[in-house]
Amino acid sequence: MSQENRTKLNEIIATLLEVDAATIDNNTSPTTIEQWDSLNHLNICVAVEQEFGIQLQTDEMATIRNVGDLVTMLNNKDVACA
Amino acid sequence: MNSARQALATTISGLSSPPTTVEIARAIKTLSNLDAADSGIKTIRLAIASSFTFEPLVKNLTVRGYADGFRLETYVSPFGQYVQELMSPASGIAAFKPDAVVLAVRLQDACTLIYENFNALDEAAVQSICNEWINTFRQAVKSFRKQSQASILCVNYELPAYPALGLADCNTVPSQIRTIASLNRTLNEIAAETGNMHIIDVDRFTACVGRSRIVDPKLWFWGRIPIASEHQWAYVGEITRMLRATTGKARKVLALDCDNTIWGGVLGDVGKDGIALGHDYPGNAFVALQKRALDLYHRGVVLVVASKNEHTAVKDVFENHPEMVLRPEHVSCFAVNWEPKPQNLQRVANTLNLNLDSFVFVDDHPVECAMMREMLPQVLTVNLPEDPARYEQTLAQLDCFDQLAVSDEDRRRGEMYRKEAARAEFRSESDDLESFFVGLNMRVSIACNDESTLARASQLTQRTNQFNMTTVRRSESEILELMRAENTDVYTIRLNDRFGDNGIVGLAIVRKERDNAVLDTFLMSCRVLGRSVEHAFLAWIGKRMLARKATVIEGRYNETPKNKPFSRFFESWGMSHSDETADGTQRWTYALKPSAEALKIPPWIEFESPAN
Repeated sequence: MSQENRTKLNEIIATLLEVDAATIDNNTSPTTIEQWDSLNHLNICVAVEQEFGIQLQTDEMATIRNVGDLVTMLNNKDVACA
Repeated sequence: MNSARQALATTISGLSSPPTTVEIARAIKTLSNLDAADSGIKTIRLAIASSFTFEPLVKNLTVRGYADGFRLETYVSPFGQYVQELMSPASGIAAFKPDAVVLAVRLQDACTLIYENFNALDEAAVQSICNEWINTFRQAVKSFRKQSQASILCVNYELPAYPALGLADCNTVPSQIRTIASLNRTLNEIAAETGNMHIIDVDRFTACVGRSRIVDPKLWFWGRIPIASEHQWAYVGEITRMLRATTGKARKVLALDCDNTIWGGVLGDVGKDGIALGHDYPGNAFVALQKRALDLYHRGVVLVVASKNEHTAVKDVFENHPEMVLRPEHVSCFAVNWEPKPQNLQRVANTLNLNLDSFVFVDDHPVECAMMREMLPQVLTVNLPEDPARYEQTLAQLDCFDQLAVSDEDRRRGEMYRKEAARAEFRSESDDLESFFVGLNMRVSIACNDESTLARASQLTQRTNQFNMTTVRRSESEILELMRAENTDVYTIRLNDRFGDNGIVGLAIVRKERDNAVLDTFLMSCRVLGRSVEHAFLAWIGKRMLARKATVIEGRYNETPKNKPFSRFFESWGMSHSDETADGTQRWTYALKPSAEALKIPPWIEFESPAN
């Protein structure tokens, strides 16, 4: 499950940022992918909410700096993610 | 359908409602690779001048455009520069040379004080702030019109969910709500004086969604996006709806089923006095649907009746039922017969000289709807929800009849078409239905003298009126007696199709009298008529009787006011009308031979029962 969720997360990000899912790791961030701007950050957060059935506070959105933070956030919300 | 069109249809039908962010992103990727020419859709160059962050809506808009038959090439003005972009001949919009421009300017952004500081303003201040903005806006629109003839689609201003004065707003001067409502009236005036400018009533849209729900504070404060993600699809739908209306893609014909659509119950079973129509539930729900249909008629939509029924019985209801809203003069064509509805609509289209892609078909029955979608995909088929209380809303929500304005000619259109059609009536004609039948994946099983079917068998004799050879009613114990009698068999037929199990839908009771197989009872539920199951059932019985050395199969048909559909069945199956007894019972016979044509079972019906 944990691995499946990770694959799903990578695919969401890859689809929205139009990059190859294989290139995404915990260090992927707005500094490594140019398309990851403020609006796409919002898009990613909305998509993660929709796909994993969770809610993000605006403050939580602001503290997510990279994919690793998204993974931590998911685990904190009881979505097992490797 | 070519491959591009097919890919387009598949992509669109695969979307959730509303589509998720990921679905939109994937759909964009697939759709942008389609050849627009091949997919048969029109390209529109659409510029957007907006006072808020419109970019996230563009993807929704693009996909929704495809769904509505447009490939949109879009241009979004730089953030906050909507006035300059309209006025300057050197602007990005001017260079883009759009076919249409969306002006999505919120009053909250353009005229902030009216929203954010209203209680500090007196009447004169409100007036002067409003005038200043309206003058600016009017000037911007004027100078744009001088340089471009593009359609202008202008979003109006939404009333606030929570007016600054609270409860007191409605009896205070100035009132925030009245101020904004009055600005909306001014927008209508500007539209009229500009020409080819149309107001997108976002205020109404917002009210439908819920004024307090349209904004997701997270999206607003993070990205200045004033529409919550779950409502973005509907919001852009208001834009494509307007595009459809400006390009004249409105549908023109509304074809309505009768039984359980415009009235409750099956006319053939319960009669004119038994159908539900009136002031209490469920009759009032059907009356409400009829009133909506009448509104459409007065807007220029041509009404057609498409029903499997006896023509005279339906006409009698339209002419004489006291609670009917729709009357014969509102209906251009009565396609009332026992033929498949797609054939009927095809003929109506020929008669009225209108394309089928301007037709909307409304029916409560999923199989009728599936048949229509399959055979005439260009017709917009609306399957009513299960609950009649929701019928009227379903019709009210249809935006496919949208026109920019309604003229006197529109109001008279129904009458014109009715004269043209000269009360066209549609009778039988055969057509190739085989592929539809094959697609239904029908499977039948027949049980013989099975006592577990007693209750349903008895019920079928009680309830079935139209397709019932004798309409003799029988209790469970009478049927049990027949099951146990020598030389008599009671057959029940169960039908499954790709939509699910229809249950036991038919009953036949057959008595062997020397060399004759005599049908004592033959009936089938109306729900499944016209799908060749009745032919297959009789063919199967004929074969079984042949195997038991019968040489003739014989039926005795008693005509009643309700069972006329049955009389044509014997003839179509191949029986001959031999004679008639003094009491009016018709004797129909067919000589059983192994090679007999009538005994062939249609290849699209699979038998699951022992074929003995």
